[in-house]
Amino acid sequence: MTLSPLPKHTFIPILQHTISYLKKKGVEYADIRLEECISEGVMARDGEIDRLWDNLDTGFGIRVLYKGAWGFAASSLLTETEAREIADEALLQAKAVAEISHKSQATSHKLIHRNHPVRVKYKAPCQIDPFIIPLEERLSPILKATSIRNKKIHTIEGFLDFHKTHKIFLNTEGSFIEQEIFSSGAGIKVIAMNGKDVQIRSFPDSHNGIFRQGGYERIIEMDIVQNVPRIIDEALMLLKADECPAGEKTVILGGSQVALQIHESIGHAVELDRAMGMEISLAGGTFLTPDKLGMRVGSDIVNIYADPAIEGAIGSYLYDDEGTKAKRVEIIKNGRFINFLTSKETAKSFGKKSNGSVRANGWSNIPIIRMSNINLEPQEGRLNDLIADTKDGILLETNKSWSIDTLRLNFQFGMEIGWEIKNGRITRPLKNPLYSGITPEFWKTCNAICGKEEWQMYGLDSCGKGEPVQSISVGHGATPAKFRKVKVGVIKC
Amino acid sequence: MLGRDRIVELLKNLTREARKNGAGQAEALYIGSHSSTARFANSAVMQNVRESDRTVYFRVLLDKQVGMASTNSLHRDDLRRCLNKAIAIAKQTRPLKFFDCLPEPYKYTEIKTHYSETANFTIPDKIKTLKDIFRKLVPASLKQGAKIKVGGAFSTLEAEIGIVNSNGLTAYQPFTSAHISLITSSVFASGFASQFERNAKNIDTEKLLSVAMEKTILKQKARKLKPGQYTVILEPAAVNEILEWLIYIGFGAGAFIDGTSFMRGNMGKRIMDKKITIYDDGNDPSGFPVPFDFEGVKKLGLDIVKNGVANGIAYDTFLAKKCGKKTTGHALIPEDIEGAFPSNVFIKEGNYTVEEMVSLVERGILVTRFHYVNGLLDTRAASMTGMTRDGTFYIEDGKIKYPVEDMRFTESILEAFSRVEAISSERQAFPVPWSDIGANIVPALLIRGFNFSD
Repeated sequence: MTLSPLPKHTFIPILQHTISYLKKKGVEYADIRLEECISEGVMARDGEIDRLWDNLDTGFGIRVLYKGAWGFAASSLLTETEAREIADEALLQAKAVAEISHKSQATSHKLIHRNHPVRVKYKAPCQIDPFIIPLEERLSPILKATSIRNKKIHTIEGFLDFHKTHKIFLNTEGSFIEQEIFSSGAGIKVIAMNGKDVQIRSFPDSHNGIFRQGGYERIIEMDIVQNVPRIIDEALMLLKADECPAGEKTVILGGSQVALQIHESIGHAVELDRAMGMEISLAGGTFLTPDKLGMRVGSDIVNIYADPAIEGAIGSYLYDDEGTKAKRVEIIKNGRFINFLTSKETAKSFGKKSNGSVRANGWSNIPIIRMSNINLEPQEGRLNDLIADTKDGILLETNKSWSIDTLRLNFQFGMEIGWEIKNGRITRPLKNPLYSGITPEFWKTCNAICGKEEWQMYGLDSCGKGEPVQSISVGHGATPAKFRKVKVGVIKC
Repeated sequence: MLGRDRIVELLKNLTREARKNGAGQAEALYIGSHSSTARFANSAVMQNVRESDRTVYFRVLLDKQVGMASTNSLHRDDLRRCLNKAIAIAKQTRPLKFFDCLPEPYKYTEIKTHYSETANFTIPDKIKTLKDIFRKLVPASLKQGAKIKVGGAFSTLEAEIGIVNSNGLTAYQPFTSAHISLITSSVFASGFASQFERNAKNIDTEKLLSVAMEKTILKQKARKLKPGQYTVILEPAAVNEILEWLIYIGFGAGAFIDGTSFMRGNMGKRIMDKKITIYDDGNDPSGFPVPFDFEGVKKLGLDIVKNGVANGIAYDTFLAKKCGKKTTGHALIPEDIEGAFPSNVFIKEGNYTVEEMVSLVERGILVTRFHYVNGLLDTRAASMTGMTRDGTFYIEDGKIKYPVEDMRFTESILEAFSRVEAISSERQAFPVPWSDIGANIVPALLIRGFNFSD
């Protein structure tokens, strides 16, 4: 071995020296994140493990602000020489940008606001450390669930995912923030085949399941094995079901789909960096530009907020990756758009302070504006009440496909299953349903949202944004909700 | 970059240690990379990122028990811990009936895949290039009478891969790549151009800017078209968005095994027009050649769709043994649960220029690229949806007439690719999402009756 990296605890004082070094070099601001993530991912198919990997990922990233320009560099090599080289590289980048930038005369006072320095150590709640449970026991829910035999089912797939992230943040303002977070997720996918037709049902959600902060208790809570027979029945039912008819319908979306609808059409749309054109090259922009503050984007009962401080939600933290304390932010109040998700820089350009919405995917990426947990306020009633109150409609459950335009306006979602509703009762399953709409018009037709008893925290593990693409976990608290005059299906002209 | 000797020595030591610690067979894969990206928006540099990373992946076999673990800490203790973790996982997992052997050694084709011009292209170099682009926009804006802005990203990558296994397999290859994308926009329209190269010196920003600007300077407001079926010319970027999803939902062993692939039940049958041939070739110098996959299996050609007929699926060793097949050399990095996928995919070229294709269209639409394509609507029919973006134009009587508002397509790609009438002779390279070292090479397509749903 010719490389001699240092253990993490020995490396922290070096990073503190690096902050002092950057101050001496004249930076206006700098921050460093040192992250270590231990993770395990499992994919099982029909009672056998297809993939199981264990990973340790460690590294540090340095961000500097010099004459109004940013630089960022990161490395997985924890040595004193590398820390100095990475600091110099970040500074070199910032200087190169400052030379050609109109902002070159700016100072950090103009570009970002300052936080008061804090020293914090935070451990997110975790009842059962998943990594200390014997492997056989840890894997048993998905091995059992994917072993359930049914002649008509082609394949059952199962997914498990555990992360333990330890993050240290320090900056030139004097903050030193240490956060430790466990997350756990699981899901089952049943694939039924009948000649040419293939139908899929998932539990507890599609796209590898639901992800939450916490330990193995999250997997136990899901009660996966008990739910598999039901989704097997539904997958088989879908093979015989009629195609979902096209037309304009009253639609009830299941809670997990409301979560994804919030994610794509509201969560991404209220990111201020998008509104300022900063994400145009890949992810696109948003219809919610700053001049649209106050605009009606939903009916009176639609209230949506960001809250990174919810215990156990996958997008939670105490401090964001710029060292700003997490807080609840009202996004849509009584159907009107009132706030963006912001960073230090984007907020400052509108004379405000960051609302703590910045994260990076690991040590190697630059922090950017990300959703934390974007949630729909519950109203009242149960799903059964919504169904009973529907004369002619469709209940749509579990997302299959998703697509939205560059401005977060024109969307289309495909669903695993539809349930026809006639005169307040579910009458039959429908296969291959999809619905589409235009964001504000769609949310304005929302006329019922279930109550607290149906409210659940959902979690996605792979929301992509930025270049290089950063995939991050995002939470959404949601309930089933009803919408009028929704375009269902695709009509070929 | 550590270089061949240091990496191979490190991996040989580690696989020997694995054998000593009880592994019947052992494999160690090293991936090291330096990447940097300059992002720009509103004609200004906005973000720079440089990343250096090195990861070692272990795979061990104890008879038929498999264990995998990885670490990016090259500290001796962490490497040993990781190696022993892989052995411990193997001991605790159930034996697999079908998987008992890591790949045997190969003799690889010598291919040049590393260019110092790319490796030495720094972020300040990128910023200088971008400054030049911003400067060139000024006269164009004056000519247009409205400000034209540019956004995009300029990335370079230098990487090295080393693989050693206890069967005597030893593989090493360094790589570079450079990728730039530009979006120019005015109040009337936006345009897009991109280039992907192994050698950064081949990046032609002048040409790219000219291609993007040509679509931006049409001084007409975009018109709204009615949903319906239109003849379309899909430029290479648009075709690539669709191809990525075809690979993801159809061409890999995982989807084939679980029954969701449109290839399943159709092998040997015509699924697209006979003009369509899709193949994977890791040795073709006109693409981004790679001598081996991520478990060291030598790259061989794979005909996926030949003259419209479904022909082949991509396997790695594990999934191939599971299906009683031979690997096709398409293993991805071990943590990718959805592999194997082909990562050097070509769509066979035709005989037309894009201009000639436009002249063949009486009434239709030219699509520069798509946004947010999703291919999970009905994977057996390869049904997909997506929005047009950055340059959608109405064609009338063989000529581009005016920009149109972005539209959503919803279409079975198997049906659409059965209505292909013309294919361009020129093809373009694009990065692939599941491998930093491969590329898709795709032409433009002329398709009749393409369905725009809204």
